[in-house]
Amino acid sequence: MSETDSGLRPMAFAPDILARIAPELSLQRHLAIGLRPSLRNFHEFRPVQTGDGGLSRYTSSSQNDSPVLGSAVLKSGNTTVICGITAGIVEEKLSEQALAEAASVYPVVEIARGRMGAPTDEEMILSQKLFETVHHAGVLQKAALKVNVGIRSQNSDGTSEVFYPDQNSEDDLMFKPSREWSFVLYAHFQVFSREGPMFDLCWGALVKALQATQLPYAYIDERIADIKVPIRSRGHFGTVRENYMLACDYARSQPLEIAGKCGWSSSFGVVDAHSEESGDMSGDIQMDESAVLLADLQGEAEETNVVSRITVVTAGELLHNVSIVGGGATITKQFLKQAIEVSRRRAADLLA
Amino acid sequence: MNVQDRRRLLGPPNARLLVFGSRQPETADTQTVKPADEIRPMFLKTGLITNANGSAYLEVDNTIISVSVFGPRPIRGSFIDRASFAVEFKFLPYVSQPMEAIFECHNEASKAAASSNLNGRSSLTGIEHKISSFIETSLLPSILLEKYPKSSIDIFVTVIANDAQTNLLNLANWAVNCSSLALVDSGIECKDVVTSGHVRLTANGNAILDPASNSERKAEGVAEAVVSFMNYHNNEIVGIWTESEGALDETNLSSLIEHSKKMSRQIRAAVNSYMLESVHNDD
Repeated sequence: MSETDSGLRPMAFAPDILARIAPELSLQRHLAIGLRPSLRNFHEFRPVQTGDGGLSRYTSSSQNDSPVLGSAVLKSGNTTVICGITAGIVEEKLSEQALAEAASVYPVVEIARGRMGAPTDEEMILSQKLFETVHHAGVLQKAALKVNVGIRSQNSDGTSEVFYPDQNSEDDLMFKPSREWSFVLYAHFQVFSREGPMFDLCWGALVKALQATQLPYAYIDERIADIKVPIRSRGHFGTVRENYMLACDYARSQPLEIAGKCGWSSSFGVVDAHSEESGDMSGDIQMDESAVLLADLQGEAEETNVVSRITVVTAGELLHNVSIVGGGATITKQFLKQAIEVSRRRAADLLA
Repeated sequence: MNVQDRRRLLGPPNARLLVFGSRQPETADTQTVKPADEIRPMFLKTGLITNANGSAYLEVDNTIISVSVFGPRPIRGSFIDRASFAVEFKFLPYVSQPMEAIFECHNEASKAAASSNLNGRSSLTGIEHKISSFIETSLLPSILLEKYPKSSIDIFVTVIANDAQTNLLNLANWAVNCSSLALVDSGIECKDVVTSGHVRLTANGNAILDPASNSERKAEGVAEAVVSFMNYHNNEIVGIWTESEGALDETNLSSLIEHSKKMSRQIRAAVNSYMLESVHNDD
């Protein structure tokens, strides 16, 4: 009776509306019944599908002039990541020691969010993290990026032939180029329907694209070599400038050598779950806090409320990268162990 | 590191773009020639992009276009009595653009910044600007902008894959059709669904619908056009883009428009049946 008199009635919202206006409450109510807003289990990841994308010049059915050397498309839930690997050539002479060093790719991530202009913080941080993780994982070595330089020679009948050091004997290669070149790998990521931990998805796409990457053979094309002869006139000296043009072989290529195993990345969040145990109608709610580990955060409720995160990049035994961001619920040693254990099993499944 | 752009990781500045040698003559490809009065089969899908208000995805041969519509979104600043409308047409950085050499895609500043890394391109190229404005012109008359005061409607078109041989006008044509479908998917109020057609006239007066590549053009093409229509709105022309060798006379122009109308109606029929089907599937 008193309720109707005051005019206050409890309001009820549909789950999707509640998730929008009170994400925290929605998350807690789900957790209280042992579920997540996405209806997944606490340690359950979204399924991941990958494909080669067919953007690469080496995989597409028709021969094309695309500059893409390797590509991958990754889909997880609604989110799609398209990754394309392109390359540049830089002239550098590396010592034996330098050749064993780890190299990386230069990634640029673009997340479609309906805005134009400069990259956002998230995109820049993602790019930097991808760059560093590839470097520290040691999956790419400078030796693998060395350009296999051949020499083109013109035969007496007018046809030309290219000799490569790994396919022809030493005798065929009387004149070896004294200069050395290396590839620089670039990766571009286009993300549609951004949702969930982007690093996991971008890393997955990058690994798949690198595994599909073919590096072309290259030869010195003497016809387009640009050699400037020094000229001295009226006391001015011109500098000697030799500009060899490296041309890549149209068809011949070799797969990019990947050292060791590329890991798989898995992200987790840690959140305090308040289990509401309302005793009687007096409104006394007994709060019993216990934190839970959630795999692969998804949706507004989780992404905004779960601040403590763990990201693990692993290939079975080896841990390539572990990053921990605190700020929300306390990340205990127990959670860390659990996260690493789950990531290992997941990596073993996905990389098998 | 590249000092021009501190926001992107572009790698060493002295790196050079890969140049591929010429292909072996024996691998010359054989192009299948389609009948002149047929449109190539297409694949349409809406609603793939979930964080946009509307989206459409289109595949025709090797061309893949994805469109997302954002809006009506509130704007900052002073009051406007009708929505502002903008289109951004963009190629993924490694996708080859039609007639790249002619349009000088990379202006001098961006060329210096991104000598080898295509990912460093930050502004639209000439081709992208041209197609953006064509799509904008074509769709603008159909949208009931006065229904959405103090808001903005933005369309983002991304070309995910494209053949280097693809004709510029042909790409513009498919981009208009795909954007128009995305607009329908977004639920923004429109007068009609805009569809367009692309036609090339040969020297002997024959019309080729949906000519895909430039290669035929040199041999026989004299004029071509993309014309956008509101087919169920008195066949109003909402956008027209013609290219011809020499002057375009009246008979040729009317023939181009007539055949474009024919093609746009065929595409409209396909779009209609797609929309009907998706409504049935939702039920």
